[in-house]
Amino acid sequence: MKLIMKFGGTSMAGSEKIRHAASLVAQALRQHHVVAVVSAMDGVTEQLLAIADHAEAGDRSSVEQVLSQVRSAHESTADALGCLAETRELLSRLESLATGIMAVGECTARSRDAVVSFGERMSTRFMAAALGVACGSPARGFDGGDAGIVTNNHFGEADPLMDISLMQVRDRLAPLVEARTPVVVAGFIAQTQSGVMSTIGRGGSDYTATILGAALGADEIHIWSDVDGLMTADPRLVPGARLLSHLTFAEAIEMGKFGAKSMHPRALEPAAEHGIPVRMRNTFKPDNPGTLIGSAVGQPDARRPGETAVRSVPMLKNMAMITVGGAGMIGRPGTAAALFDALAAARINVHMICQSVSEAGISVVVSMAQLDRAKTALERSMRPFIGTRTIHAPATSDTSTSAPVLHGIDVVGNIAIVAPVGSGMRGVPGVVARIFSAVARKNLNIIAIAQGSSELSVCFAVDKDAGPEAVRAVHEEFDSR
Amino acid sequence: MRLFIVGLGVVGKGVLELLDARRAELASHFGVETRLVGVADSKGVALCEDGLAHAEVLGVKRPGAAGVASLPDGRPLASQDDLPEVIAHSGADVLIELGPTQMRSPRPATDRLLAAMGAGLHVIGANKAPLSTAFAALTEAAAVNNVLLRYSATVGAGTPMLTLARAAVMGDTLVGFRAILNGTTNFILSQMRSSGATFDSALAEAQRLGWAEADPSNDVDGWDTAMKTAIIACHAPAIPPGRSISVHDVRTVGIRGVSARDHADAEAQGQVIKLVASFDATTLSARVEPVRVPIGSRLDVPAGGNVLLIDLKHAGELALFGRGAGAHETAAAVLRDLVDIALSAR
Ligand SMILES: NC(=O)c1ccc[n+]([C@@H]2O[C@H](COP(=O)([O-])OP(=O)(O)OC[C@H]3O[C@@H](n4cnc5c(N)ncnc54)[C@H](OP(=O)(O)O)[C@@H]3O)[C@@H](O)[C@H]2O)c1
Repeated sequence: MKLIMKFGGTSMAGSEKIRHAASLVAQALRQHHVVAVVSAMDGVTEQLLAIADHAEAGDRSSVEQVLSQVRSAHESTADALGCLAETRELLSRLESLATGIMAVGECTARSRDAVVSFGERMSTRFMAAALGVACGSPARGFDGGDAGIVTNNHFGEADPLMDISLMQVRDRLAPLVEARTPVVVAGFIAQTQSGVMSTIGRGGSDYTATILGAALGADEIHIWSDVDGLMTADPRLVPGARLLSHLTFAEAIEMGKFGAKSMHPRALEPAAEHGIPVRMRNTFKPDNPGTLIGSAVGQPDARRPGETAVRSVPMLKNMAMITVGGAGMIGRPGTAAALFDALAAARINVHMICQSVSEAGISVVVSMAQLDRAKTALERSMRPFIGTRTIHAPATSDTSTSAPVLHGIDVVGNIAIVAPVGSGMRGVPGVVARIFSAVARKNLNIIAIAQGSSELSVCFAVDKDAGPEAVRAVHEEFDSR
Repeated sequence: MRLFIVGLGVVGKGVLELLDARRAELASHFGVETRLVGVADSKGVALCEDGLAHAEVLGVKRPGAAGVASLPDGRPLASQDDLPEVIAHSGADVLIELGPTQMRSPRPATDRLLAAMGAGLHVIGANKAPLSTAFAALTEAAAVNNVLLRYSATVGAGTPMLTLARAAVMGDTLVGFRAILNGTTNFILSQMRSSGATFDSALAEAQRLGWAEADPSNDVDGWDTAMKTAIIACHAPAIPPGRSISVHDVRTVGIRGVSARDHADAEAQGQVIKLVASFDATTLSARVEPVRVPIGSRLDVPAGGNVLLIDLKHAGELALFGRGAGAHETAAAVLRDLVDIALSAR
């Protein structure tokens, strides 16, 4: 078999864990053709972003403080793994980059990408060193760009140029993989057409792994982390939550949208498109089979016999619902476009959208963390739509009399979104009714409802305190598994 | 338009000659005026913003001359890996890529094309290797960089086979196509048939007359035809969107196994043996193999001829016959692409 084995930050946290991960790769290499993909050590990406921020703000002492944390963690790991010299070299390049940013007082998206790239670049050296020892033959380490992944110039969130990337990765890595050379590729980082370091943002190293898998025609892509796989619900909320042994790409993509510890939907795309199964596994319990995400035999989204309609009940907490309303919006073209443009411009992530039948209001659910920014953006851009009454009273020169019918922008904070997911919901009558009666029986008030476009999910908003109870109610009703 | 030409062999020199011969016509008919700002051969490059004189370039590419590195603006190139950078920073508007077709190592040529497009140059390629191995990547690069990629010389040289193939599938449902696309094998098979020669002696004769190269594998093993088949299938397109087909997807059998005896058998039944490319749009399968065709049928083309037969569901069979190689024939296709780019980019 041809395998891609991707190790997340928790699997790369320190020399012992890295050695353990390397031993898993070395073991697989005895029977299979393997490429390893690695993330930065746990927490390092955040530290690097902090360095970029402090450097931009000219805060030298904070830069030095975080830098020394990064340095000591990496130096001790490198020392243990025997790659101290190359790691020091990277650390000193990181330091001069930070100094450069402080000097100009500005950190462009491009420089930020260069700063965060050091996390994966160093962990690639670590894995290559450990793997070389574990295999008894030297491992080849690649940055994502050197491996052939090319992106556009949208630094910070660059999009891979997929056909070029697939061709180049195949060209560069296939001969090595064929020859069973141990290969390690840095996740998350890539380069632009002109060779400048970029990062692929959402989906990160998982995305790197699926791109490599698609390029090399892998048989499976293994995503190693510190969890057993995907669960039917958060076990802290539902004591009876179970591990899902398998699910379809469509289900996994849907779960990812609603905060399940799944992969980012974007990262699943190359695998789904090329029909390569993805297995989520626990680095620290390698004998567990984990969760297999793939296409059901024959039909891509078919339900297997005995499977429940609702496979999983993810929940997003700390959410807020913003409703923009006003008679001025009725029948007025461009309202929804203006609303979504404003949110996009403010880089707000919208988790759920509802529109009232009368068209007089649109509700969006955003995280509490982004609430203020979203509200400000909407207040500014939606004024023309909600500030005057155009249907019932023709606009007059006296604007003081033309008050909006609704109150403009309304916020309900501290809510949770519950999103039952399952292929069996599609086209099966009564599933949605069962979901809501289960919730109603617990006397929980549903604030808003939206059906997923794929019909694989329905999501509803409840008060934050009612969230866990609602999840349990649905989970119990369907005996999710 | 400022041009950068890579490769000044048979075709590259032909392009310079044709640009000179048609200069007035290109300007008056199409408003196309060109300036040669860069050239490269296997050993060096020459760059000049004000334009290199065609005659001087042709002068240093005469047999025995020292190549473009010996031009006043020339220099040797340490490694061919440096060429993509040079092209990207040359200030040219169009790269014309006429380097050798190396099917087994298409990367250098592919990298030249990608680098050029990444730097915003339009690209014309006559080289089949990149187009038949990395079609999707090259068209993606053209799309994301908003430049034009043209390669009509790769199939049929001056005979616009790709244009016909595209026009055909735009208006109708493709059933399939068959084609004869390689002059060398066509010549060898004709020799064997007319003189009763063995494959080896016919090949030697072809090499003596300049029909076949010293290393004939690319032609006689069918790879040249297979590359062209993949390019037609991708360009038309004869395959569904999102799919692509590479030369490695074409089941290819060359003509080494064809014996004098086979020819005699075929002849006895009123047939001749030809190396035929075929594509079946139902199964999406492409193949290249020696096939018996009736004497006098459309596939029974003379040695220097290429033919493309396209089978359409409603319009029936279309045929395009023409010469498939040659310096000026191929250069004509390059100029066609150049005019096309000039008019499309306007
Ligand atoms: N000839 C035809 O009828 C015909 C028809 C259709 C398509 N084509 C295609 O057109 C292309 C050119 O054909 P041709 O007949 O002109 O071939 P050619 O006579 O062999 O010329 C090849 C040219 O490429 C140069 N070259 C070789 N390696 C190079 C490198 N690494 N970097 C830069 N330049 C390099 C050579 O340099 P030197 O001069 O230093 O050797 C030479 O000038 C080929 O891809 C061929 O398949 C040819």
